[in-house]
Amino acid sequence: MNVAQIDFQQLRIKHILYKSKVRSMLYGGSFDEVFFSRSGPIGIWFSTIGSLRYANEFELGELAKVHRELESTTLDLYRLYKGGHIDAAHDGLKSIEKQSERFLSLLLTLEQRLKEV
Amino acid sequence: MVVLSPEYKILAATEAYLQITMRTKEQILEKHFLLEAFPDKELSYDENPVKASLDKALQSKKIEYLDVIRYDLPKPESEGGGYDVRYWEASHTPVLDEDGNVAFLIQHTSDVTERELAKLALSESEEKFRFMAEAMPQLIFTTDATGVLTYLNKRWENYTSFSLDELLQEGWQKVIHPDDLPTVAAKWEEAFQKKSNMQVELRKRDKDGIYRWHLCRTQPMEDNEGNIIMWVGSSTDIHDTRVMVQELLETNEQMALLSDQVQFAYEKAESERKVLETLFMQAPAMFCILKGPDHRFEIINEKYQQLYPGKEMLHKPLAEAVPEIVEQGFIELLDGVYNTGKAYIAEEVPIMLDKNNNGKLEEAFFTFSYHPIFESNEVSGILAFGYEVTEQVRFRKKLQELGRV
Repeated sequence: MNVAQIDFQQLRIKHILYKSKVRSMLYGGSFDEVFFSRSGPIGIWFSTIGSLRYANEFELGELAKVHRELESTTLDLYRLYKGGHIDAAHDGLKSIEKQSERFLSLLLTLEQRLKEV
Repeated sequence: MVVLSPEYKILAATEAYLQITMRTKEQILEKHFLLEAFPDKELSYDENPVKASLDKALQSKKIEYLDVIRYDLPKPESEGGGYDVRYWEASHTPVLDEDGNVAFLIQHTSDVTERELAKLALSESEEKFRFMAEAMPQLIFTTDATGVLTYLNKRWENYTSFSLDELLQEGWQKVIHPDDLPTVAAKWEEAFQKKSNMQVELRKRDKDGIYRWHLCRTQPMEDNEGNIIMWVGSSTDIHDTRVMVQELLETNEQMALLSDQVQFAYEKAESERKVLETLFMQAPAMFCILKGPDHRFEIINEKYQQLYPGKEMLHKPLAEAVPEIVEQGFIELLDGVYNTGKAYIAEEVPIMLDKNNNGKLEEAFFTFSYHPIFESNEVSGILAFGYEVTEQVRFRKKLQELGRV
């Protein structure tokens, strides 16, 4: 195991936790303000490990962008849910899933590219 | 309107009557009303409710009203024959003579086919709604325009411990978790005022007294003018989904925690490894690590490399990198350590080395040790440590020689 493998595993796990957190918020959970902010685990990953070790990798910028899109979708879904549009909010999980697929596929590309080097 | 004799023979009929019944005067006058003119195609004469009503009017000498009846009219052959579906509302009025006997009976008939067909269609569509509502996997309810419960499907009875009548009379509030009631009431009030859809999550007590989470949706139904005529609601049990989502979150939180610990442990191990590596590489003695059964050089420190200046040894098996030591028995020693897992320590051993890489062997003395390296309880390599003692050995020998002199 090398440091890159651990770094990407970390991001992958944090991303899956993020999805879980969104889903739980839409099924009676609370909106964890710190978690969903830039000081949340993924924000911290990008601002420390990400920018420290992988700032020059093309995929990193893309990953950060997809994550920002996820954050914005999360906020939209939270507003829908709080406004009593529960079905619409649950339906919105499809967008989260789409963005997540893109995120994970970018992460895999980056991981494999760096493994080959 | 048709006028009958006490024997139920047709005496007279209005034009309208003839038109509706699609008969001519000649066809029905003087005919027996029920036996000849309009016989029932399904019921016998004695079973015919019209006869019963006429009999009653005749006896009581009072006006008799008939329930709405279906009496299909035979169509003339010229129109293809068969029957025309008709619903009738009729009354029989006895008209008395001077002696108080029934002189004749007037049947007043209104064709209410259209009204009755509409009624039937409505009840059919209600039946369909009920069937659908009963087939739904949700708890279904309706209220009237004012919000009063009018219908609950059977599932309510199966889910709660109350009968439908109890729920209809006392309201569904009794199955809702007390903590959820204020929110639900507020949301319902808001939806009711705004005439809008409502979705709310709430806990409902089941048969076993367990509050399970439901997603409740209500929707107003409007007529053509936009007036609300009823509210339809459904309640979906989302308890298992909620529990699963929560469990999944907890699992993933644990996983993230574990992965943080792995990262921390890795970083700690890595920094310790770097310290050791620095020590190892810059130590004032010779170190090397030989991996695998063929003793391949994995790490060589500076001091060790100085034994063989300029020689490429890394990743090569010892026998290949330094062939001159093979016949000096060192491979056997290494094999022994590798196979037994026991360290080997030797002092002041003479070794013939091709120090200048020119094929000329020179004698040098070393104190060295071989230590097995274990991975998962198996030897994976050997750490070799040593320092040259050629000078000391030579001086001592010289001293010994001098002492002898």
